[in-house]
Amino acid sequence: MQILLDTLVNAAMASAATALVSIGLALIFGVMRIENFAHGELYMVGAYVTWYVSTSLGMNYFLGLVGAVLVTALIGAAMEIALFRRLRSNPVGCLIITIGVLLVLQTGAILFAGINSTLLVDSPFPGTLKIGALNLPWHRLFVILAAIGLMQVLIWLLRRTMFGRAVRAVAQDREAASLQGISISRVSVAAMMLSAGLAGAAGALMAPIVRISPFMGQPIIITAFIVIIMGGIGSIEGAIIASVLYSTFFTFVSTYVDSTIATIAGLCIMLAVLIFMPNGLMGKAEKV
Amino acid sequence: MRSPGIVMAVALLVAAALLPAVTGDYYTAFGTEIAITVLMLSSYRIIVLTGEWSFAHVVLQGVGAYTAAILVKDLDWPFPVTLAAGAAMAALVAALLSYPLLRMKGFYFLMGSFAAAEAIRLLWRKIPFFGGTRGLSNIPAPYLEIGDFSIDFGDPAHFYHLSLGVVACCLFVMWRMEQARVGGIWRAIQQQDVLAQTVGIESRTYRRLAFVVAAAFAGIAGVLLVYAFGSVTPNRFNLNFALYLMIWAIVGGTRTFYGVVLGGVVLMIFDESLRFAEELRPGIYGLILIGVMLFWPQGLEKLLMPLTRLLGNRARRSDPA
Amino acid sequence: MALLELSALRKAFGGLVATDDVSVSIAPNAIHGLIGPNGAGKTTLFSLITGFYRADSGTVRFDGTDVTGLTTSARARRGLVRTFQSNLLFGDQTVLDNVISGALISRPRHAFDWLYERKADRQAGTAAARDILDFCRLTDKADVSARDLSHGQQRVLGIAVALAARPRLLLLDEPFTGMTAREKDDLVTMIQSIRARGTTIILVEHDMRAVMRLCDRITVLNFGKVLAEGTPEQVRRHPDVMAAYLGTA
Repeated sequence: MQILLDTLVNAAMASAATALVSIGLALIFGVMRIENFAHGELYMVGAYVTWYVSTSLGMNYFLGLVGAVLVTALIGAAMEIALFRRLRSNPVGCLIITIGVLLVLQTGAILFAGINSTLLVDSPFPGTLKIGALNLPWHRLFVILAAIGLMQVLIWLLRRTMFGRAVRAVAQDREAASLQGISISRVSVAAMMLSAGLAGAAGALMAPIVRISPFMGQPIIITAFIVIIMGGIGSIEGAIIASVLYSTFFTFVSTYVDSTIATIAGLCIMLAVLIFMPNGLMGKAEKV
Repeated sequence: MRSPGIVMAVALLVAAALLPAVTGDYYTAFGTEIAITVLMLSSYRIIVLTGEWSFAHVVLQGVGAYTAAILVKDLDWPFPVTLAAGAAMAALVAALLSYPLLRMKGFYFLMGSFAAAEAIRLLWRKIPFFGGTRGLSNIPAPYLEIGDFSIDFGDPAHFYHLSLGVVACCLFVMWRMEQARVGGIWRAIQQQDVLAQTVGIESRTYRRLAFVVAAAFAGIAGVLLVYAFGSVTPNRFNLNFALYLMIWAIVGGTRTFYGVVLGGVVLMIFDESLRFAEELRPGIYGLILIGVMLFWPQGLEKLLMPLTRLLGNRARRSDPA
Repeated sequence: MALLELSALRKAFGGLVATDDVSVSIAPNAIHGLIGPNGAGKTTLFSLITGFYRADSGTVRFDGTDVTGLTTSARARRGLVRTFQSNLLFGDQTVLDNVISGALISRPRHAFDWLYERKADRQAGTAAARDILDFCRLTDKADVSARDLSHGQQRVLGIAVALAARPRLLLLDEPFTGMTAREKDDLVTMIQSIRARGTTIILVEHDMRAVMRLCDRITVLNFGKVLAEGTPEQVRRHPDVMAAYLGTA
């Protein structure tokens, strides 16, 4: 019984973290039509910054979280300004260049803190909440709530602000949006910063729980792509729903069977979606 | 068919064959690795010729590798047969995968190829028959014995020459295919798929042909890999290697036949010089990739284009048509 | 017997019926016009004939054979070839290579043609391509890159590529759009020559003068249905046609 509940909590947490990462990826695709292979590394950078600030410098965990978001948002902005802007006419080129960024960030992390070191981050919410026979670790609950909170903020931004409307306009029809006076460059930078920041936040949230290594981003990016393909590649709602479905499935199979089998099953699901429902759950690619 | 390009190619082949005479075992074995990589890159290019990028190519090499490894270890089959079997198995797997995968194009095809390939690779890790995470090892080198004459291909120089011969034959076949009707059809599909269909070209069939043929050559590369290292592990065919293959192809340039060969040779030599900084390698490749995409997207082959244009013009003037 | 027989073709996209119970007969060696106001469903019908869309119901019979289930390329191999409004060409290739590419499928085969091309075949192919270029008056542009041609020349090249595929039925998709008066005259002559060589032609076009000059028969579409059909004279005088184009008084 305890295992079942643990797994449920883990599934919820995995859904939350995956959703944060996947939303960013969906946002970038919707707005800029770029598939950002480096997105998993931004998650990794978020975890590293959190470690550096809170453990290495000994400061508050929440400062680490803020730092993580800031640093990844800056990297996101840099990617847009220095790289994507020069390759507007070449979408395949953008994809390839993100592979380059992936490799650079990975090596950067190795140089920063070594390849095999054990990096620990203490959670600001240690211990577990005990309700009768249930054990609910506080930090996992925190991750779930924080992720939901961040997603609410994002959705508010997109639905209720002028900025959000601009973003959605660019996602729907780039040319029409620019004819309306919307600055594509500014929206692109903002979208990259937002997307990267979300990934960084996810990394920061998960830092006390997972093993921090230069390669921690790789399974994340694979999961994120599976999720956005399932959800419909440019759709944020799709990404959220698919995150929950996929992460729950994956967590359960991982726990009760084996994590390699879970990965194989996940890849088969992605393949099945690509074959039978290429538009994913939510249909068209334009929805942001 | 007599053209300066062929003369160059033969000259380079002869020069390459002299490698063991001028260097020791270590660099000769490295030469074998370069030859195998060149085969991988040229066969990868066949897929790129039809307008697609794939992440499944290294795993198809793995199919050839595992096939040969198992046939040698369990059944003691001789080299030429395992070579053919590796190629055939890789081609078969590719043919099966092509049915679902070729319904997709572009980014979706890339993702689909990754999903299928990684699933296969994880099965190799999981299933004891394939040796699990450790893979298979202690695979003996080929041995040729005809009457009194025998060659032990365990000797790096002998195996190098064998690999060079195999790779040269494969390159020749690939080059010929590209110049023949099927090459023209692949190019037509890549440039304007819809128009190609309108003039009677069934793109799905020809894309499948490209995928399967490329896989067969990857399978051969896999067989050579197994004999070269005496072992095969699943990690040798993971995403990192797929990314490197892609990077080598891009840096070399995929427009011409020799572009990827050039890229492979140059980058592998560059790679070797990075051995002191093994950990930095991904980052340096990343920087190279970013640099090439921003400043030199046509790749290294552009360097040689003025030279080939010169040679090509001389050839064309003697061509009656 | 008709070369192309469309029977009760129907195609709907969601709630919109683009082609509604269309039946048309194209006689061999005719130049058959397909006209109608914007949105009448000409492009959809075109795509149904050539296989870009699958009909919801109805049949397409080409030279007596039911081709309704065949792909575009399968139909093309039987001689059903179209051109494009949007100047679709093999952009990286020269004009000559474009035409050669158009003929790739119909090249003579031999056991090792995946490895090499017989010199005689290559020369024959190049000569045939040059013939087509001569016919289309593009001879002096043979080595120019396709994308460096003017719009009108690209249109003609598109027709040349289609001719290389040896069509028995050639579907021309608004070939006159964007051409100068001089180019239009040349094109009319060229289309008549193509017919004189034995090819049947279906012409979708807005330019009424060209349509009236060229076509033996015209089918008029409106709202996805056949509105009228007959000789140019009959169609010109038909009250429904005038109403459709000009609106009823």
